[in-house]
Amino acid sequence: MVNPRYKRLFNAAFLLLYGEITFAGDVMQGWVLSDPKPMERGNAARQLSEEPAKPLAHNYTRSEALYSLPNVQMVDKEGSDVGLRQLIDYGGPVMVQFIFATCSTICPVLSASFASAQPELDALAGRTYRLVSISIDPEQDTPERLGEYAKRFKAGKNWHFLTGSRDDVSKVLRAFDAAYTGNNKMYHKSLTFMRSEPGANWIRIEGLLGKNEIISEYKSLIGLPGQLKD
Amino acid sequence: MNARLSSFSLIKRGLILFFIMLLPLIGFWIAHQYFNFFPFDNSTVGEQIYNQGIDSSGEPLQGRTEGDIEFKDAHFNCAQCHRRSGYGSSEGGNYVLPVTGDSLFNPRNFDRADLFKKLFKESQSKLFWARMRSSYQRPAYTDESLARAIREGIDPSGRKLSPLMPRYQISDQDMAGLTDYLKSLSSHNDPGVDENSIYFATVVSKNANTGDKNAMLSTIAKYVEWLNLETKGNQDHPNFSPSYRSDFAKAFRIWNHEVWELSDNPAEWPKELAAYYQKNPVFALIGGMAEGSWAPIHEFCEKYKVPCLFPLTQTPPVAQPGHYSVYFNQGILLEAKAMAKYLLKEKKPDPAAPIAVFYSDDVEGSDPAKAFTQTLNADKTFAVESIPVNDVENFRAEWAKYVESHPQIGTIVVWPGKLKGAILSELAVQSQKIERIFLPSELLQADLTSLPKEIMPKFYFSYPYELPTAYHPHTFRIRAWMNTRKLEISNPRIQFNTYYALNLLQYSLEHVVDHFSRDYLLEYVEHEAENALNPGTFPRLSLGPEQRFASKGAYLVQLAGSEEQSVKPVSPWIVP
Repeated sequence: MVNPRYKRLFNAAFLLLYGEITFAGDVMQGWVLSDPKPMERGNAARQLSEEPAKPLAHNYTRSEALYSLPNVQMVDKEGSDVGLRQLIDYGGPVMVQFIFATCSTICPVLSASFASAQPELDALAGRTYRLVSISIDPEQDTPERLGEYAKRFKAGKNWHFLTGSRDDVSKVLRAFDAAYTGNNKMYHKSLTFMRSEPGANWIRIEGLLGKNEIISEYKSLIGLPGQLKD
Repeated sequence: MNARLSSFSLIKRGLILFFIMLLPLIGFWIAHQYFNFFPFDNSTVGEQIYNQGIDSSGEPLQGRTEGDIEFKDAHFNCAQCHRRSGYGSSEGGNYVLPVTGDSLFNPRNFDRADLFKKLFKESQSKLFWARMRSSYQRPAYTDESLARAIREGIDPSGRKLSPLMPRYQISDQDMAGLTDYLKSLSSHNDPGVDENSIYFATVVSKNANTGDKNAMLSTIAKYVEWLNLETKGNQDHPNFSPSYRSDFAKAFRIWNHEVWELSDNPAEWPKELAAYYQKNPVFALIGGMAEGSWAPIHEFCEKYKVPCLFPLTQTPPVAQPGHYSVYFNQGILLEAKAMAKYLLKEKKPDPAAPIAVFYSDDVEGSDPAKAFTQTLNADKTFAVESIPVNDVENFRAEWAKYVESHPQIGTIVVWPGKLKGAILSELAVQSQKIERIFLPSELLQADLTSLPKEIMPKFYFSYPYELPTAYHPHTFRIRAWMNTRKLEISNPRIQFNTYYALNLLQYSLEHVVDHFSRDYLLEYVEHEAENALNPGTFPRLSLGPEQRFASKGAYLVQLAGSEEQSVKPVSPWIVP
């Protein structure tokens, strides 16, 4: 019996060869929120047969920038004070997203991309990482509500949820060039930021990422092979 | 004889055993034939899948989004993105298509009036605009093509749906239920609207403060009069169309507003409200004011699915679930929690000196007292001594007893409830012994001038409003609007809040165009509450999907000068 991890890697390599990452979810056992049963394959197979093979196109844009973070105190889901800079400048790779717990459309998918990547990030042996989800609706998202949100996505110990004062959250949004128009959170953008270490450039990803996309972006960030080809 | 008996009992035993063995088979057969005898209740299951994400077997929905993110999570239900109304939504530059019966089971059509607001009144990304303008057509969905879209993400024109739209694993039976539900979703207007008019009402109780009631009702009357004049102007000149107004002719409705006055007896309110509603089933309730608990009116709105927008109440039923009522804040409970948070953040308490909580034993007194104590109990070092009172004489006696029995008193909190300002004169007794007295913001409206000057610096008030010194650009415009219409501004907070509620209602109705669905209206209220409509009464008013309290915090203030009862903050904005 081949070790499933090797099998997975082999499958991934095979897919990469054909540039068919879109369908990788069928082969790689995905993350399931509450039940680890693999998906039924039938529907996807039909979809495969109807779709002509075509080169992969991302649904997101990617750029690099250097951001200077404000030195603000925020509050985590346990209700403890956390210095934003200390949390993010801890020395290793970090990914940041802006979310709010009652958000209807994109935040659940943003957070689900973190959640789906978690097992694989954990499996990258010897590596530390931090995921940070910052609430843009801090008055509504109390530590307790963020705790419930975290539980829904089975957040592990490397995933931090922050809320704080409105002013501080605005400062952080502006620092990441992520402020939205009209001060209406409904117009917020779907953004994921990644950085390999303090002082390095931030990778700014606008759009929603799938599991493999976020993992390969992360791997390329920390200098591991396996990034997607554009 | 014995042998016959034993063979008989053997047969009996055998038969029993046979039946026992047959039982699972019968169960299996029933399980398979159940729906032939009892037809499957399609619409209920469909609604459950759509709104709650639970399938007919009670399991959460399962599927995949963004290509490879698999989930089994009831939160990934249809209503999450397409919303309860089915009219879709827009968020973060993503345009979620409508899935009402009409829109799915007809070829895609382009109604400029539907797209107009999204295109020109929302701040969206270029990608969003491009998507809104895309001219792609699709034929009407059939049951089969809809199932294919939901399972595989392919629409009837053969195009692939956005990866954001999950691909669901869903049984044929559940799919049939969901399809049935979608066919009827928002298929007709909700009650309270006809070809020419839309109907609203405002609930007031007889014993509510007359001055406050008049302030609210006069603002509503002026607003409705002004808006109807404008609407009539538009209707009378159908071809005069600056700002594409004639595109919206089908959406214009004259507002028909009436006041529903309730008796002094809250036990009768459900009956009275039902009678009013039967006579005139309004589309929504706007504003409102009642003495005592707001719960009966909240329950009416839930029962009849009537949006109840921004009543001016101190006692919204915070613990009760609700979809149809939207409030400014959690009222007196918010004040209680903010006060407790303020004390929790302070210096460590002296365990020998408990905090005395005097409260009137009605809903308006005992509820905040309970919330205050519960919040304070987060820190076990705080000791609380609760003292219920039932009238002013009782309060006087208890207060004197407490003050006399303590040589020195640190902190006293008073929730006067229905006793209101009547207790103020009692607080001056031996006040030199007391370090500070915490009171709800309502007492700031009482007359404090008769109290001795030396007690003023001891007063702390919870204050869930914007500070008088803050500047909000919209305040000026509203004041000008009121002055122009010769509307006397007797109670700015009440009138400005009423104006906000009306303005948001009007704004949201404009977005709804002619899809008069109460859920759709509420979805726009949630979406637009945060836009620049804040009249300056609260630091910030904002909602979100299923958020029902627009302002979330409070200041603690003290009196700035004894003369004009102006206030100065002693805390930051506390969000409990």
